[in-house]
Amino acid sequence: MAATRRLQKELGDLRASAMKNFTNIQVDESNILTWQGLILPDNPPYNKGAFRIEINFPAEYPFKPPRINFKTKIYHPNVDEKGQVCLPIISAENWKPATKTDQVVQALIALVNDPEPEHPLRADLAEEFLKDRKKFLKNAEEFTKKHAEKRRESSSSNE
Amino acid sequence: MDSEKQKDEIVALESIYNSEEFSYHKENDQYQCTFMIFINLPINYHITYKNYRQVDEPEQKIKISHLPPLKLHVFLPKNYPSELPPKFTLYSSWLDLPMLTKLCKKLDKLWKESKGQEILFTWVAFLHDETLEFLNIQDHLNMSRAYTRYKEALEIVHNIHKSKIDNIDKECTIEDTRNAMKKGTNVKYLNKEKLVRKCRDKRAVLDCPIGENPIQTLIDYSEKRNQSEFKKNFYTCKICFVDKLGEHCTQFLPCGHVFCKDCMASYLEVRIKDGNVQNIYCPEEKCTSEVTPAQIKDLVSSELFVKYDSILLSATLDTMGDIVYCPRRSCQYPVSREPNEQMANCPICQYAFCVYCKMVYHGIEPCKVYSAEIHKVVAEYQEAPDDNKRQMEQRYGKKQLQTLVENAMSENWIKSNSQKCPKCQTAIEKSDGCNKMVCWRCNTYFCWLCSTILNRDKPYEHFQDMDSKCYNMLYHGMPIEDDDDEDDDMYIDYRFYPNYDSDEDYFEEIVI
Repeated sequence: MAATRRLQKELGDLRASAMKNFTNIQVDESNILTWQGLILPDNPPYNKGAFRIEINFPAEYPFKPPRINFKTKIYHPNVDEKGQVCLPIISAENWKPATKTDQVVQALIALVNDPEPEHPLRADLAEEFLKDRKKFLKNAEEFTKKHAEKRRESSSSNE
Repeated sequence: MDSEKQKDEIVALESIYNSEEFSYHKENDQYQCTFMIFINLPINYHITYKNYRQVDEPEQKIKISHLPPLKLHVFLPKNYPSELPPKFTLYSSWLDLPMLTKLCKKLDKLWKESKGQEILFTWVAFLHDETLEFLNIQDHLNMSRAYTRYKEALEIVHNIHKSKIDNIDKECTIEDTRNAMKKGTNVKYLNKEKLVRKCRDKRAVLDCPIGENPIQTLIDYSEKRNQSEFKKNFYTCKICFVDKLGEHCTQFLPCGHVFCKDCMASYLEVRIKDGNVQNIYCPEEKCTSEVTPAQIKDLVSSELFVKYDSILLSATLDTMGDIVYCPRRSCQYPVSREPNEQMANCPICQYAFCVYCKMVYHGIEPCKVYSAEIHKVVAEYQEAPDDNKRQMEQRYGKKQLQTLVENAMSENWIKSNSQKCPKCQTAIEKSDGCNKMVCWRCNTYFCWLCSTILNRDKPYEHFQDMDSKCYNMLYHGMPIEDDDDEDDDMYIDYRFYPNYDSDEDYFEEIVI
């Protein structure tokens, strides 16, 4: 299966490159089509925690795009309550088979760092983000503290 | 001594150059070598050309990435390298004779500078590395002379051909062109050629195929070489991350991105099977090169390509507002419609239909609002035996069915019993009276028989004028046989009195 071979290669490269903002990559041996990992955004209010995401690859991967879900609740205009996220790079019409998972994850982290309130999944948060940034940041920080996983600083500071 | 040196030199050359670049054989114990010198062109190298005899023709410019190799043929004399230089001949299909001569002289000079030493590598290295710079053609190569000569030869052939046509109907052959070429060079370039010949080095040989377009020859060569290099090179497919020979890859243009055929075929299959065939781009992130139909044809099965083709066609047609499908189920041909035109005409089955209701074109009459479905139900209901009627009533409701029947009947009745006012299109029923009608709505006078609008002051003239098609037909069409009421006599009487006029018109208009 083309998907398996490519995913094994991608997974190997990802683990070898040891990205700083995407860690703890877990893949079930029996099912390489589902990955989990922690993203570590740089920008406040999300830089205080780690967010678990799940990446689901279709059997036709890489000819069809993967889907991404947040497993950790996040206070973000572009992520809905179910953890669904709208990421243009993996939308059906934009998807390119040469796009690698690390590019997808980096695009996701960029979106988390800099929300795009122009096309939100949660209109209420987008409005708050635009109209009352202070309140948004405060809410998001509290939400992050409450729900996000702890960052293991030691593992990311061994430069 | 010399023979040892020659032998060593040949061995050395053999190790430096591959078999395409260097070959040799021994004749009468003497070496004869052939070097093919593939000159590397700078990026964006181009050839320019124009026909010098067409003054206002602009100069053309074409980018090429490879030129045919220079050929250096060498004969080693017995006392080379101690005393004599190798004898050589230099061939090229794209350098002109003065340039080749210049190169020959330069090779002589190189020999003089290091007389007594092995020279072949120096020569070949010079030709390979410095030819373009030495001849000052490192940016572009002007092929205008060769091109002009070719064009001229073509003209001569054309003229010969013309004069021949009366006698023999003969195709213009390359042989003709060749002869003309010789003739052309002899006649037109006599003076120039003489000059060239004077200073021409006999070792310089123009190696271009006579009678062929020299520009096209170079373009073809460059393209062929590109392809063979592409096939020989290895590429890492960015979809499966496997290194593959170019032979097993496909390249997108103009971006130049390369993917392996297996991956591209799988990608195209997924897209086509999903019916998502528009805008298939190069798989590289953000790249907007589009896949060509030729690539698709090359990569997928013929059945899948047919599917691709038909999906693409219908998807494209659907996005065109001026296309409407022929409503005939057996036809379904995409018909283009004129803007602001209600009628479309299928070029295949000739069906002329209304673009809105898809029924036979009905002129200025508006589309019928009742559907065929209702007619069917009504007809079924009217014909059904009582038991079935009750069943239908249960299903559709008695009241609704009765309303439908009534509506259908009145619609039918209107259709068969009314006429439209030629001015305002209101449906008019004639219940009685003569054929001079007055529209209840717009007060227009018109003829019931031919729908002509009648003169308000003299409405009956239409029936009195001998030239009118309704002459003497004021009462025409009134039923005689079934009509057994008292008016019968009167009706017949009046037929013979077309001038009869009265303040009372014997008709009635009913509005529907």
